[in-house]
Amino acid sequence: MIDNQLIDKFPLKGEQDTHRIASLLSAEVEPGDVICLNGDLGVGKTSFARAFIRTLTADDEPVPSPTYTLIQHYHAKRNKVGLEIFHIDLYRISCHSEIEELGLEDALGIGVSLIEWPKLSIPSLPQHRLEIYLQFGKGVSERYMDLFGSSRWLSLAHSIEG
Amino acid sequence: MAEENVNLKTETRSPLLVLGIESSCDETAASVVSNDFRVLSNIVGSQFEHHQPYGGVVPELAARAHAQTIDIIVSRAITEAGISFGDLNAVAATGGPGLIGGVLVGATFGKALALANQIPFLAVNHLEGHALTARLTDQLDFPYLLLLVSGGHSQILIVKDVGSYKLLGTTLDDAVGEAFDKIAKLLGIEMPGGPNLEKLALRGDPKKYRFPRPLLGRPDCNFSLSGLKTAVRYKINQLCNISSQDKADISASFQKAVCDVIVDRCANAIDKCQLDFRKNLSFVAAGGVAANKSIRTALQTLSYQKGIKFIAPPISLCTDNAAMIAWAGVERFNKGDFDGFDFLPKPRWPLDNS
Repeated sequence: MIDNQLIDKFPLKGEQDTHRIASLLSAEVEPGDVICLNGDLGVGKTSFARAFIRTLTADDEPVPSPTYTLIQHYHAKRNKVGLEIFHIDLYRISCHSEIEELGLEDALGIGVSLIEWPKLSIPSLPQHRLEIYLQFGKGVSERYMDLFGSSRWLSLAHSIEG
Repeated sequence: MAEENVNLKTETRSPLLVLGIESSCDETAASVVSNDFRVLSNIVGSQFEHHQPYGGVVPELAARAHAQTIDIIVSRAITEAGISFGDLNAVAATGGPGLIGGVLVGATFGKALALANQIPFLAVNHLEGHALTARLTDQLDFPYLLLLVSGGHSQILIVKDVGSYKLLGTTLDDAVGEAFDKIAKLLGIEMPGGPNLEKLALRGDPKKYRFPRPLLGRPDCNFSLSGLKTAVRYKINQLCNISSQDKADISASFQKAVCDVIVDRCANAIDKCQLDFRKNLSFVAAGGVAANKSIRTALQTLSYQKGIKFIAPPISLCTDNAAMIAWAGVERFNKGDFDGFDFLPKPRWPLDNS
């Protein structure tokens, strides 16, 4: 199967849908996985990441925007096994050489990485990553979500559809 | 106290001189401060370019950038202070929180300098630097209430003593400065976004658009600005062919919404302090966003209404700087609270230890 093909496309009617998908995704990820979050300012990239991280940590885990800190690190647990999560935001990065110095590649090897504004990091990212694209819908809380990825992520798409 | 400091020169003579180094954010900075409240020098890397009160708009993220300039900036801080390295009593460097690469550069440089001069090293929490600045500028007594608002932080804290803080509230999503910068970006406002948005807002109507005030009226002291950002985004999308007056109106209306949120959250904090301490605490605003005149005026008004003293340090000491690190070093020196040369930088380092 060709890598990074469109594997699913669906509407999100509100925050509940975002939480449901974040929760399904959190059950699928393994250390080394990369989830890219694409979409305009204010579309809900950080909200999605927050829902994902809280599923694996605690409902009230503080998940601030990583825009200024660039990388936020979380020690999560799933089925009593530790899982490292890196919440990364490359909004302020202006060239690829800065990414090398951020320690991004170290993070990618250790845990699950959620990357907002991932464009400049693409050369450093694994082929089997999941690309999420969020778009505004008509209503204030409506969004569209496109998923691009390898066959690795088909079961996720099925569980979302199911 | 670290063992290896036992043989270091820790005797106090007057005035005590501490070198501060700050490299946890986008700026490389160095400063010399004395224990008699004088800032002998205050060098910030970006001051060689244009002034950026909100900070963080031109990222200098890479550790390499800090490493390339730190020796020049430290030398300049020493020269401008009119002293030599031998006059220093201690070196204080930011030990976190922040980008690990930058912090490593500053902390390692600071340790090396302290070791070479056989003087103590102090690893300072960046947030503690902001928190104690009002004691340098206004010789304020403990305890006091602090609003810290910058590109990367939005917190309300009670500053009880050196090393003793109680967090009353923090942002649940975006920091205030970040919200300003992102709205500026959406409106196509030139960098530095925050200050330019503030200028544009001057000729806008703050009542033109009624943007949401997240968390307003709730009893806690937390912030949430992500929903406000999305609401402004929607308004911008709705208005096709956005005019410069629209931009000014949106800027003014957004800024008003942020002011209302900050005032509401701070009012809760002030009330809580009055209950807990049974007296009025002074109220300090620090961080780059404290430079915003609308926010400053709103906080002044609030303080007046509540009958408490309001203090906002000068802008050069509100934005990220090394004088605050040096001053925190002075305070820690006075307590004999030194760090070992084996100190490891902390990317996450919350102030609250209550």
